Amino acid sequence: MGILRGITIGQHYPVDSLLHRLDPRTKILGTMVYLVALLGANDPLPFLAVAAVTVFLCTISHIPWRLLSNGLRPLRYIIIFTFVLHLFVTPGGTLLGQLGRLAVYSGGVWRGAQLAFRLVLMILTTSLLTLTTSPIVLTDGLERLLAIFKPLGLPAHELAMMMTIALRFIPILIEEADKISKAQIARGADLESGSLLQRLQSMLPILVPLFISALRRADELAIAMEARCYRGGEGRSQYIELSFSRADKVALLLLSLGLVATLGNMLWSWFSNGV
Amino acid sequence: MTSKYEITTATLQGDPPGKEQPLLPFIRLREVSYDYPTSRQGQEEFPALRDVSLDIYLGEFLAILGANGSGKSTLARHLNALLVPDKGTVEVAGNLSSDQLKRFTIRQLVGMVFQNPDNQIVATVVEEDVAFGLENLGLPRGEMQKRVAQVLQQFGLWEYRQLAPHLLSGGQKQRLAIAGVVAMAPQCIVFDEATAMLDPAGRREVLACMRQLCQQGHGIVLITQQVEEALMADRVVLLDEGRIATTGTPEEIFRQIDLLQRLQLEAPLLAELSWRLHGEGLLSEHRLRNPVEMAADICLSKRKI
Ligand SMILES: Nc1ncnc2c1ncn2[C@@H]1O[C@H](COP(=O)(O)OP(=O)(O)OP(=O)(O)O)[C@@H](O)[C@H]1O
Ligand SMILES: [Mg+2]
Repeated sequence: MGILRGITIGQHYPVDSLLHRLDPRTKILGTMVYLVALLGANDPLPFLAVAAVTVFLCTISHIPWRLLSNGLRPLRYIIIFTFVLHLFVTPGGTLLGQLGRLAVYSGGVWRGAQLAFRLVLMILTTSLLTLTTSPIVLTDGLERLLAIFKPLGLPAHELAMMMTIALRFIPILIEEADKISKAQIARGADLESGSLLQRLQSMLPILVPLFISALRRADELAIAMEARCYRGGEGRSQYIELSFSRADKVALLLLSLGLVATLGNMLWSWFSNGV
Repeated sequence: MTSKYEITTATLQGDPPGKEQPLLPFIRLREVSYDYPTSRQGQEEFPALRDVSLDIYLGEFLAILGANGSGKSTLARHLNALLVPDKGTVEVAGNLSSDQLKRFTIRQLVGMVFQNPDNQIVATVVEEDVAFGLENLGLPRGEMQKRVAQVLQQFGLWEYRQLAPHLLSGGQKQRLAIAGVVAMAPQCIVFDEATAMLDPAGRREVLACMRQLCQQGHGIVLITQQVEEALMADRVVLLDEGRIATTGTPEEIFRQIDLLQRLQLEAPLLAELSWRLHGEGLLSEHRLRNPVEMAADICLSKRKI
């Protein structure tokens, strides 16, 4: 289960910084605008602008770069794969080299690098959101943002509660998976070697008990919650107080500007490509 | 019609000794029977509860003792309306659990602590988990903050309030579960094998909490398979195949070694020893006592022979 250890998405790193102090709602909205901007940034200039914003945010977050880069490590193969795939399949630009039937064009290098970097930036920023916001504040912020859609039938409270419970049980299940795999190894299971298929097969005796245990836990938790007077979001009050500070207002203003710039950029490139 | 709170002979039978008793039973079960809808019908299985009548008072420490599958947890879940009887009634401070509208009130009055602390802590931060029940009650924020601070201090968890629950020790986690229940200010708290998964130190911590709560006037219901734990109760109820086999003081119950053996419960060591010594004629009387008393009694009996 070593794979799960390095993941920084979902981890909280409590230090003091401007980003830590922002209201979770600001940060969630910010991440959304950021992701739209990132997906819309196809040309070099907007892309560099988004990258610069990322570096700026990481710097003011007071989170060590090592921690941030550690978060990329579990996904390094996917990043490399993205690069290599686009390197070979994207035509355009000048021919740089040929390997049998595979040709590499300069357009492929740019496209591959861009998509790989886009992944890197995406992971960095989403981990930045959770690293600077405690899970509980994050879910509270999410619940209150989603509450806008409640009249449309969106179960805002239930979604936030599901997220809280998932976050609560992830460390427990990781620990349990660790225990089960040790027990299986002690019984002679070989989890490390063999082909991919063999390794997946040897994971089965770990996943099945883990799944059963998770179901049992869910059942017990539901009863315990009911015993503590839980009956959904109705008539519930909230322990955590959220309020927009001056910094939040400034950040939201900047966000709106960013959103306008993003949409402007997207429209412009759409029109210029279309004509 | 008789008044709802009139004392019946059934309530007098089980009066715990040596304690000032409020006259009215706080929880009152009358001929409660319950069968799980999913249990296999037609086989020779008995329903989980059969004709259970029991009164529980505030300020009393009640232990419910029984082997695996004897219906302890099923009984516990009737005490705060998590389950509703098929037959018979459960009444908590005058609220019938069969009344859907009263269940919320009943759950507020009767708190419940379960066996596995990991599976009853909801939130990802200690402090917020204590607040979970208070949020459900819809309390204003100021009141929540006051109560959270108070119970965290009471249960020695104040320093850990910002920690993730999985970083706590077993005993601390179970104390957190208790704190979350106590914050809701229930009158009675049911512990369903709440010490079963703890190490001896954690078990002592949790038992100490229970005693403290009982002294503060809460009704405590301790469900256990550990006979030694039942020794600290005012009154013990022995459960067997969904029925109450007998009730009495620990003294009365643990003298009946043969009954305990029939119900597959281990007798407390000293009770068993006293019983065997009595059988061998080395003790003139079989009763529950501490080691010093027993030694003195043996010397006395020997001198007589
Ligand atoms: N959810 C359920 N569905 C069907 N039958 C159940 C369920 N829970 C318990 N039972 C059955 O009801 C009977 C009483 O179970 P209960 O859990 O109350 O016993 P217990 O005394 O608490 O046992 P333990 O010491 O194992 O906790 C048992 O025969 C059990 O198999
Ligand atoms: Mg049980």
